[in-house]
Amino acid sequence: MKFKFLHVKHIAQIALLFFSSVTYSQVDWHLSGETGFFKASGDETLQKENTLSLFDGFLKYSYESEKRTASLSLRARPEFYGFSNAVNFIKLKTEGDYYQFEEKFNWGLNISRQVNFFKQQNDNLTYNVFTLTGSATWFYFDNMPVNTNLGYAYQVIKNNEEYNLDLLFFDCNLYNQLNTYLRLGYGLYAEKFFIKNTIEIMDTNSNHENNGWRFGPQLSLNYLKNFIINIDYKFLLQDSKFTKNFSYEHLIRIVTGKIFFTDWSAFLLVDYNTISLKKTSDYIEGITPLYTPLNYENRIYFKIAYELSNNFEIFTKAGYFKNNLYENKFSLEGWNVTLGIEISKGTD
Amino acid sequence: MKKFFLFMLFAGFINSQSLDKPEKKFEQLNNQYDKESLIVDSLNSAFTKKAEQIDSEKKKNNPDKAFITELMASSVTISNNLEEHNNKVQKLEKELDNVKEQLNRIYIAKIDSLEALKKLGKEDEDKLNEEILTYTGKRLLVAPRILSLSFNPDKVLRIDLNKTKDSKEKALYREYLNNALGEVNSLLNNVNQQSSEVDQIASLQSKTEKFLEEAELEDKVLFQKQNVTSSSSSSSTGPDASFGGVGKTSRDFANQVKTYQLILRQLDIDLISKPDINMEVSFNKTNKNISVKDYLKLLKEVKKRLQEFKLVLANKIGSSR
Repeated sequence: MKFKFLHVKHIAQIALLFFSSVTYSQVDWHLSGETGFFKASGDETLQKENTLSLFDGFLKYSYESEKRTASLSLRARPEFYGFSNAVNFIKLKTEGDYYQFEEKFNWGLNISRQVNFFKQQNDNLTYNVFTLTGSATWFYFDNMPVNTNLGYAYQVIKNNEEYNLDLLFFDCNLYNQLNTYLRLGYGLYAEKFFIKNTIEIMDTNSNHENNGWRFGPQLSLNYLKNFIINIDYKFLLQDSKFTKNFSYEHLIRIVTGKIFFTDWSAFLLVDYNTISLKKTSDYIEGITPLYTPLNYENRIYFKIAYELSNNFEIFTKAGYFKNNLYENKFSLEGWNVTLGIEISKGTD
Repeated sequence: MKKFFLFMLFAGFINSQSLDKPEKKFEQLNNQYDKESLIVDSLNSAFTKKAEQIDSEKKKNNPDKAFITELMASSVTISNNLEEHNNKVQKLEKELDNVKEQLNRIYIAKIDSLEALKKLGKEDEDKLNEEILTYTGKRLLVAPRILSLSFNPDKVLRIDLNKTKDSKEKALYREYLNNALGEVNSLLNNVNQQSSEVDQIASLQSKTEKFLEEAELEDKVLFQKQNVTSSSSSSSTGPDASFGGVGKTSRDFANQVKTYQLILRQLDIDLISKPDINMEVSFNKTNKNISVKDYLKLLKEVKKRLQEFKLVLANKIGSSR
């Protein structure tokens, strides 16, 4: 190593860089619109076959300095299913995060709030979710970072009835970087949930409560080089006032994608979830609240995009989905295909 | 209490890593390597001698063809031997690199744990310092070689071929400059290759995050994922961002980071540095915690500096013709 040429002036320059805090801020945004067809079955709300139009507006402000980043984003997403007797959704989401990078660990906070408005001819419904998560990644073991998350979330669904869910969750993952591009993760997930529902029985509102735990191991595999593949698996046991042993869930998510011919990209998402709950003898169907997560959506979702320029993209999306909603009270199955455009500003 | 818990966790991990086996292996491989290198050197010298003998015999007025044939036959035997031992040396080098890497990691962990013990103040500090020194010494023996510029950029920039005293000095300086240019070109190729790879990784990562955000919002039902901590959908700026999704580059890239930072320091000299240079990657970031985004910035900065330096070198060589 040759440092002979590093005179006092150079040392001063380096020292200046050492202690200076370079910051920059950036605004990213995108607007997109897509239209296509969907075919659904198993639910009365949506007609069996119809057109579909989705719009999405997103705005994000990011601030970055040498040791910390912060961002605030807003998103609005109107969705229209059909023309006559249309079913309309408006999804609004705002999210903020702050992360700080220390020498041997990173930590951060994320806060998000989403409100979905659902409107049909004679039916209105709002869905409200709030999440606060504290995260930390520790680098004490060489090439084996440990990631921990601790958070609180609530979810309220309201029409003439009300479904409340509060969660406290914790997860911890140890990642093993097998090589530059391949990583394995193993960890634990635990969640304490509280349910309080107000439902209408014989024109009278009545309150019903339940609380319990979901916990179990989780595994992940991530490969990222010429293509990406992420596989996440959770096996969770569930214990609550109205469930017995052995109640469990399998949650699998596979995401894969590739950029090809420079401007083309293709991504695929597969969600597969199963749930098996053994109910106690005092369980009453349709009344006793159980934690059957509200959207155990099994689906295959695919997107191909072509970048015409840095700010302009055309894409097509296709998906098959099967949702078993709230204790199978509702279910929805079908597929959709759309074609859309997106204009954006910001860095990828 | 928290620190103590972390330390116990840390110490438990380190103690599980035995030093005896890799140290012995390192010693054994080193001995084998030295032995094989000696054989290669002696075969090389024998081969050169035979080649010289053949040349000298060929130059004679009446060369002895039978003798030349005999010499060539023995040369072939030596050459085959040489190839065999060269292969062995290469294999040993690879094995040595692996053991060195393993030892380097263990020594770093040992030093870190001793430093942590020192901070707790419950052990004899002198004894701990002595141990730290021993492991630091051992570590230096196995630490990965940091490749940096083999020439002195400051000196290169002060060379003016038009002001040389004579043609011999000019030729010497020209060769020095050409070698420097060759090295810069080769480094630029490496940086370009790395840059393109990391660029693709960063782009793929950010597109995947965007795709997942869209998918989460596009649930056909009213309700969003309960799985609020889904690791795949974490923010790109958050602690989970980097190769494979974890907030840290792997060792291969981390070592490259050190190399490039050193090159940047070497190239940060008066004649080519600009006062408004936006040095976005700080030198005090260690390999413990650097994201893909930061690594990409570092590569871009190194590329820029190398291109500037290449231009200066090419001008210096070209201006004297």
